[in-house]
Amino acid sequence: MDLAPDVTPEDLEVFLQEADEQLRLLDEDVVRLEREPDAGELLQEIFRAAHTLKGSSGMLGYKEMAELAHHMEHLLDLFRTGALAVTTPAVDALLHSLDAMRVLRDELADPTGRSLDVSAAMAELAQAAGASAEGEPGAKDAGSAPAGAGPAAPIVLGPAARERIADLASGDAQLLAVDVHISADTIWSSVRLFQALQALGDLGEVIASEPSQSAIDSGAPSQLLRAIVSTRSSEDDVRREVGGLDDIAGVEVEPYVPEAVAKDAPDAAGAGQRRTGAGRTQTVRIDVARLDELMNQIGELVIDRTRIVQIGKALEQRYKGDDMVEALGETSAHIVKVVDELQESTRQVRMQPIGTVFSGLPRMVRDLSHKMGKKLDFQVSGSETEIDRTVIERIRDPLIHLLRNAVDHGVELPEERIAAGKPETAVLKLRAYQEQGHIVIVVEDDGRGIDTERVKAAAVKKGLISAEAGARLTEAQAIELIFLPGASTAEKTTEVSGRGVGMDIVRSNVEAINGLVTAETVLGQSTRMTLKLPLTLATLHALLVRAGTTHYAIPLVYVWETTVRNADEIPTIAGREVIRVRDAVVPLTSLSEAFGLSRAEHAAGSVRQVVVVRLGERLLGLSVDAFSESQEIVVKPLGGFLGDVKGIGGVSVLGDGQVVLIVDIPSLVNSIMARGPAEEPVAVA
Amino acid sequence: MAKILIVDDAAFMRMKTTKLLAENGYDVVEASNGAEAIDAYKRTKPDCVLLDITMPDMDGLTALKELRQIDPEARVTMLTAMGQQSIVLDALKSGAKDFIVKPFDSARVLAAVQKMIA
Repeated sequence: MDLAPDVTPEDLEVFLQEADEQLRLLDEDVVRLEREPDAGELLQEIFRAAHTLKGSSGMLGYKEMAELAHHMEHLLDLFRTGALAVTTPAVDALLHSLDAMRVLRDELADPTGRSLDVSAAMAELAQAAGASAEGEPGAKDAGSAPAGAGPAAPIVLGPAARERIADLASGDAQLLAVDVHISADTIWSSVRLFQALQALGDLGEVIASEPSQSAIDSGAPSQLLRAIVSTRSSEDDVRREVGGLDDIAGVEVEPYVPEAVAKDAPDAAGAGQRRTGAGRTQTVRIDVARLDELMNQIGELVIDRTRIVQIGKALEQRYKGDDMVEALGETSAHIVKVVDELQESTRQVRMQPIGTVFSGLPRMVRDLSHKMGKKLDFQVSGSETEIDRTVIERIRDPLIHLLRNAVDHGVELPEERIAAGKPETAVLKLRAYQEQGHIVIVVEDDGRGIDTERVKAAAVKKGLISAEAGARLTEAQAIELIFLPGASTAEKTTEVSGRGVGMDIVRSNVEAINGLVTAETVLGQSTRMTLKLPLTLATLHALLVRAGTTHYAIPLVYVWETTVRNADEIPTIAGREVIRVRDAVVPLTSLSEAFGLSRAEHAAGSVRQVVVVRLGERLLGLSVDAFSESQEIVVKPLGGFLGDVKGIGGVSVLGDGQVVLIVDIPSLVNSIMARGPAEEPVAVA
Repeated sequence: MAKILIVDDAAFMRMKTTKLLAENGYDVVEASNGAEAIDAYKRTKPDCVLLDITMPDMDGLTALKELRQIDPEARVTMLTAMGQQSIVLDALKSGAKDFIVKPFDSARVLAAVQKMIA
């Protein structure tokens, strides 16, 4: 590719970034357009994005991209003017062009020497536009009449013009005949004609012209303007004024000798109002690492804040009524307020609408369902729901997997749906909303559902569980099997969803960020996958507990219940302590023992405090020595000195300087109950 | 030093144009849509304006009309692209001095600016 000679690396960076944004926007909008062909505002936005791409790539001298964008814009313009209806082939053409554009963009970012041939994409666009367009889009700009110079038409004077000429001939203004030649390579000759006529009007009075004012207003092209002008300016002045315009090849001026015929042309063309576009958010890009650092520093500040308050209280008790102590109290109260606000604002900065993950998904679902011959209405809602950036980065893959599964396995073919008495078009919903300090994402389809009997049979056959264990499983436990590694029930491998390497990875990805994933299904009717995610990874709602001398934080999302038991009332099953909670038999483990830190001693008659955690359908009781209230803690990654401790996900420092270890419940539960849920069902009714 | 307001929603275009004008000794004010342009015009009173047509939050034509209402002497050149002939005509009727078709070369931009502030 040959770029303009003055392109700097900085230019490129801005261009690439902007192109990326526009392409992403276009991808999403074009898919929406297929469903909402009449949304004028949407079409306007699409047009604007394509237009920006065209302008910027043209400016950069990136010819391939500029031409492709130009063809896209042409097709979009036909939609916009209503000359062409939005059809699936046309949308396909646009999407394919966007794919090509993305390749072009990447080639620019990372030159490989290869250059994508865009002619196929352009041909597809031209074909889509073909129905109504006449030829090359570039040639269409000039309007309907052929843009030839042709023999100069004589000026035709109407009665009014002739009368005016007669009037003026007796005055002292001179009459001039002016011929303005427009250069042949100008793109819109009529606009130049308009400017020339305007310039003549500024110098005097245009009595008649060919083409007429109204013809020029309507955009009719011509390479020649002939006009009769009454002016006090000299011939040279006229030549200079008009000749100073762009794209003027020559101006001939001579005194007008009255004779000939005319056509007058009053002008009353109203200027059309154009719609203003939808709002856009203005953004600044910040490296996430910097935000993390900022959040970390604020975490320190929060700790000191609490410490100052505590010191203040102690001083207040020691020196009651002391002015300085009172002033300190006021100041620290203010610091508390400011620090809290600072923490909240920083958290806000890290938040992004979840729509940034959702973008691109409609396109993927569309392409997938088309390819598989399925009819699908993909409904996305809650895109504006805000979630921490770091969470966003981690959920894209799981989401893609869930959606692919839904399209591939969940949704039936149209014939199948009709046979089952369902509407031909399936509905696939992707919803996000905030609920009690968490973000919930739901992927739900009204397809065939999951056959839990088949899931069980497959798991038994693959040796994941024993037949007896399988028989004992409840419906809810059976569905959990799909999250086991290697549990796919799809009989055939498909290109789309692959083979059984899906749901276990979805679950481990989600649990890695202290999230939960659950599945619900009604056979023949629907499948619903629910992700419950933390709002942020920087802070955590946790239950604080103490076991031995160590303090731990258990993420609230996993806490099912807390309970207190007498030590001597705890039965043992197969050498393992268990407690009964809400009709379930739950294995019990001391938290200290789980980490091999200390041997718990339980004197007869003592009281055991138990936190019951839940991971999917698995329950585990963790006995601790004390639990205090739940609170929000600032998560700090494990320092090098602690290394990678199994079952510990991070540390936090409380206001009083107390260090707490954040328990990584998924890995703890998995290591303690290594054999999985089905082998040893823990929640027996 | 003449002050020029450049209005374009495309950051790349804006940057290129700003750089060109700044290198040629002009004082440049930037705006990324029509609404911002009106604001910037009132605030900075530029000698002339380069105004893109296709923009969100008030397009160039609407912005032009508002600018001319605020200042009937406002000197504006439209930045345009292929396919916008009728809008350019409207703009000229509404008081725009000239137009430049994208992708434009440096000489065109400088010539347009010089013509406006002459």
